[in-house]
Amino acid sequence: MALAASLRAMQASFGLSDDALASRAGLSVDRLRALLADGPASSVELYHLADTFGLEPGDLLKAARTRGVGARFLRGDADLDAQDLPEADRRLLNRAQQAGRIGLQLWRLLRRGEPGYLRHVRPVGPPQGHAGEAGYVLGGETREAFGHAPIVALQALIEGLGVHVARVTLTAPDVLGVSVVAADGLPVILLNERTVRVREPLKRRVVLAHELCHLLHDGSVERPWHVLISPAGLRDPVEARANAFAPAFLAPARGLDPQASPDAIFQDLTTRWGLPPGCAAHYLHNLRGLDDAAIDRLAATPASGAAFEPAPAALALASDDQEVTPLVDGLIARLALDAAAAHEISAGRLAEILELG
Amino acid sequence: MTPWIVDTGVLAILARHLHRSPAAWDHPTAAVAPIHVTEWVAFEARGKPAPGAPPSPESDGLLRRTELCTIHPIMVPSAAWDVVDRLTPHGSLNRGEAELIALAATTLPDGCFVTLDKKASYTALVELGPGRVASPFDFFHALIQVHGLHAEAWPALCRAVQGYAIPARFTPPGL
Repeated sequence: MALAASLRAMQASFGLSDDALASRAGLSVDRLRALLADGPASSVELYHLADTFGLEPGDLLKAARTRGVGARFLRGDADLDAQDLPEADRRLLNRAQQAGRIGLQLWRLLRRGEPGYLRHVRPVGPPQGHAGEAGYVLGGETREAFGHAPIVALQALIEGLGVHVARVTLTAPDVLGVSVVAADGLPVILLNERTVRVREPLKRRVVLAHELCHLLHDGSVERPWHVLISPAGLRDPVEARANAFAPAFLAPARGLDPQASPDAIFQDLTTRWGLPPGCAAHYLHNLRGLDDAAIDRLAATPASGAAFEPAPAALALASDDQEVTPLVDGLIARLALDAAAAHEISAGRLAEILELG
Repeated sequence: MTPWIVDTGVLAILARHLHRSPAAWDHPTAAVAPIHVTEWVAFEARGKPAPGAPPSPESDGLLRRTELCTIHPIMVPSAAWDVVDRLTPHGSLNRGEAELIALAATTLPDGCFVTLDKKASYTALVELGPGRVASPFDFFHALIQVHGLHAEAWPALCRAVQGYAIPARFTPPGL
């Protein structure tokens, strides 16, 4: 009963016909219809059906009872109908939630205590007044807890707080990043490799800092699980605040020389603080006031700061043949390897986690 | 006669040996198939082939021999599924290991779970109790002693259990 009802709900939610669902799950249409008519399923059939939606079997069984397993999707500060997202992206977001749950389970198995990001969570509600100014203030305040030195490896810092960062390919070309937050999992930041801003290390730092703002300040602990989608160019107060948060977090104004010329500050922002030229030019404009010509001239400066965001150390895999999917590559894969080395999970479970995608 | 509930790693060692030396087990002596797996474990052992794609021939060759292997579905809902659901999805075992322990706990109460993995062995010991978990050496030894696997297979199978020395009770093997 539970499976049939859940299947029908998820099938409708993803807009899949019987033929399409059967094909994706590797079942005959007759077999699918028998399951939709409350026929008993084998675990293998259940695994394949759940996988079609990016769910765990248990979650699929509960889907009808809990009126769907979908998150609250937010684009900026507005609710987004999940059905407006491409099917492949919704599946990936469900998988990301699952990866976050696995991450927290591993974190606990390794007795790492409370994930560090929780110490910094401070929901502030929608911006009051000028969103950009609110973002600068919030970025500076948040940065206080992270010392005064430039952050060379932001991704490593974020992962150290217990936030998984995955570079994946989303179907939606206008989405830069997504923050997936579940009460029973580690937060997961998905960065869309389809976009130039994610592929270039300096620009990726800004997207990461933007997502960090969402995670820490946009109501992340108040909802059972939700997804914050950050599209490029959205005019929305929450997005504008996160946009301003990013440079203020990466290069807090208190670290800049107030007596220096704009060109010298720009040089400092791009070389010592690791801002990309375009971001540094606009940040400087808001700090000191620049005319459009100066912004354009500075923004066109070739990027420097190659030392920022160094590639993480290679995973210590037992075999060169071991697949690691982009979704779990990073913190979760390292937690899984540590847990396997400590015999907290089986080798088979390790392989299952590294293949999650 | 003990039903052996066999994890993928051990199954792969045996399948690889039989693929290379088909004559090593040409005359099984028991009336009942000694090896038991679940459908999911069989799917994993076959390399999780996509629909219509060919399975891994080594494991498929062994799993197709119904006189040697029985493949059990785990139905949803069932008592076995309840055990699986408790041991997964965010636990320490993978689906296959959880299903095999569930099979032993609910369907084959005299079955013995065999795995290469320490964590899975320990969890099975906790879930099933003493006498229900065995090493690959015990499994291979029983296949030779009871089920007609040729004794010549013993050294190769033992060598394939990587990282293990042959336990003292089997040396000299006397096979």
